[in-house]
Amino acid sequence: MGGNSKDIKGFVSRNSIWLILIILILAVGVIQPKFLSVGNMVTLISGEAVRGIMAFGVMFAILSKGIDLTIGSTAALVAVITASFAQEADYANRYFEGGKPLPAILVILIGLAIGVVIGAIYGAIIAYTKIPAFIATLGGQLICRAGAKMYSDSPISKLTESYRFLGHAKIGPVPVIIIVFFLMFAISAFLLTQTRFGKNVFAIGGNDQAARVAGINVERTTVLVYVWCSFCAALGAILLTGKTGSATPASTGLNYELDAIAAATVGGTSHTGGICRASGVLAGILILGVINNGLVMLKVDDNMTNIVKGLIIVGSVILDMRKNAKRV
Amino acid sequence: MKMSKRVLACLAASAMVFGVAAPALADDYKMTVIMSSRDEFLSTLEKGATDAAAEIGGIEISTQDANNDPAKVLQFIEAAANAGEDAVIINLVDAETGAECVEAAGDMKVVFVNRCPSDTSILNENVVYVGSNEMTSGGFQGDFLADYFNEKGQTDVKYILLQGTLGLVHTTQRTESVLQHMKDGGLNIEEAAAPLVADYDRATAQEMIAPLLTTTEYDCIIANNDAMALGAVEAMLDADLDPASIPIVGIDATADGIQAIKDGTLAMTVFQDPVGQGMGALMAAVNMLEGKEFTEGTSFSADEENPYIVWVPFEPVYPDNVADYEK
Repeated sequence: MGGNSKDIKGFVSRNSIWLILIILILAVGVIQPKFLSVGNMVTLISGEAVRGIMAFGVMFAILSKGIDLTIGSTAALVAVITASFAQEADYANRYFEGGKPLPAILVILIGLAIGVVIGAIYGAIIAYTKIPAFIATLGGQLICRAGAKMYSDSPISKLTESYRFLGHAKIGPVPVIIIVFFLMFAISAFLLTQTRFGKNVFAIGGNDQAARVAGINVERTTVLVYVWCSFCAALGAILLTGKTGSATPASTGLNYELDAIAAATVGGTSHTGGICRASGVLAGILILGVINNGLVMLKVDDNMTNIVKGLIIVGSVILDMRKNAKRV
Repeated sequence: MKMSKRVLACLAASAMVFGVAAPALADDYKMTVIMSSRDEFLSTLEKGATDAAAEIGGIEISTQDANNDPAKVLQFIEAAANAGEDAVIINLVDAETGAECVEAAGDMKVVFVNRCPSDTSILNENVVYVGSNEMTSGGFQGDFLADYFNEKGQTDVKYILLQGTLGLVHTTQRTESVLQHMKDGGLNIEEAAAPLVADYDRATAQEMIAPLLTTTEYDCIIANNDAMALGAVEAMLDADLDPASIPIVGIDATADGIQAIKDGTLAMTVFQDPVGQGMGALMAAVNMLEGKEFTEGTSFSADEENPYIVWVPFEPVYPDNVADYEK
């Protein structure tokens, strides 16, 4: 019996984040019942999908005791480049005057490839020069944003429906973006728990010296972490441009890395490395979604929304650190 | 030896940064254009100024991007003053910093463009402002909505407002003037939701308005710019609503905004003339240096009360005149 109650306690403690999410949803729902409608839940999740996918990327970086600040800028660069290849042929303000849009699948593959290459570059810089990830990715952030602005000085829009499919289309009542989001959740959870790569990242985050002694190729794993992170950013960019129908060099993805880091953090990913659960990060994303969506519906002022967000981010980390300290 | 090499390298680097487009002549005017940031509109404005300079000839002009940092604006002004330039054209990041900019400019002529210093008493024969009167931009939106609802015979109107970045003068004026003109047009207006602050950004606006579209009653959507109006259009399409079913109004007449009016998804927008503002600012700088009227060589006119303000007019854009604004 005693063991049983301990199990329950452990389960609740491990999943306290979901409890917080449910309480939040109910609280907003009681005040504004329309919040709970299926339509609004679809709106909520599709609104968070892009940042959510980025969070699934950055959680690997945080788990390995790193960070990725380039996400939003990588997204901007991928967004403007892919969008420029996907504009309708008859649009007067085309980026490539008089050209034709490339097939969507090709454009998307180009975008993802750009993401992978960018991630490999700064992943290699972090792994082999040993400079802090914070610095390497801060540099990357500036360079990618500038690259996006150099590529185009104005928004690129009128994109083909086939390019916008992932971000914009619906299959029946379900937006494709939501399907992509949950698919990416499943893939990252699988990567994290079921593959050697995931286990290696856990090991590096826990103690990189021990990981090295245990025969893990720390450098290669680190590069792969940032490749994955950047891949998620590129996919996010394609969804975002699909959803909004426009890629804006100066503002697309601006500060998205911070939202992604916040979601991963609220979801219990430890910045001291070695602790991360994909389900927790999913809950973290949804909590931020409830705040973004719900507080608008409750007619709460924008500044207040950000104050609540800030409190939740800090509060959740304090809770987590105490919990993890107890466990040790 | 080592030192001097370093100094040379620094000089070479700064020469690149503050590089000039045209070869220098003895009686050239030297100017720097300082932009708050480089979005579509401001880039067009910048080009309006540099193109005008190229057309006049004999003007060395360089441009800087302050990346929305007021401190950088001041740094660029000081650098231009130290380089002995003749004039600066400033697109303010923070309207409150106008006096500091004038002080930093020293003997240089100063033209503020697009964003007016909040304290207009700092303007004088050496410091002028060239821009568009934001009270009229929102006014055109308000008049349009008043006419639209009066024609329908509806006086109680609920609106959703998508606001730009708070604290910027033009955000406040656009919002104030659209609401005032709706009231003046005899409408009984009520806000359907708390004002959404979407920072002039399309994606942010789309995200913020999405939860309201199917859960709130509203008769029209007012946006402080086209990007946010288009975000609202996308959100409506996402929710399987017809954006043409209610009037959605924007400001700026960007290429995308014009296209949306042609598509019928945007009801109207207001054209702000970026090329005119850039050109007007450059002409004002040149005219000041040559001791002429600020507006000489342009079709613009000075404000009736403050002679140091030059207005570049706004123009409303509807489906029936949209063809005039296609680029």
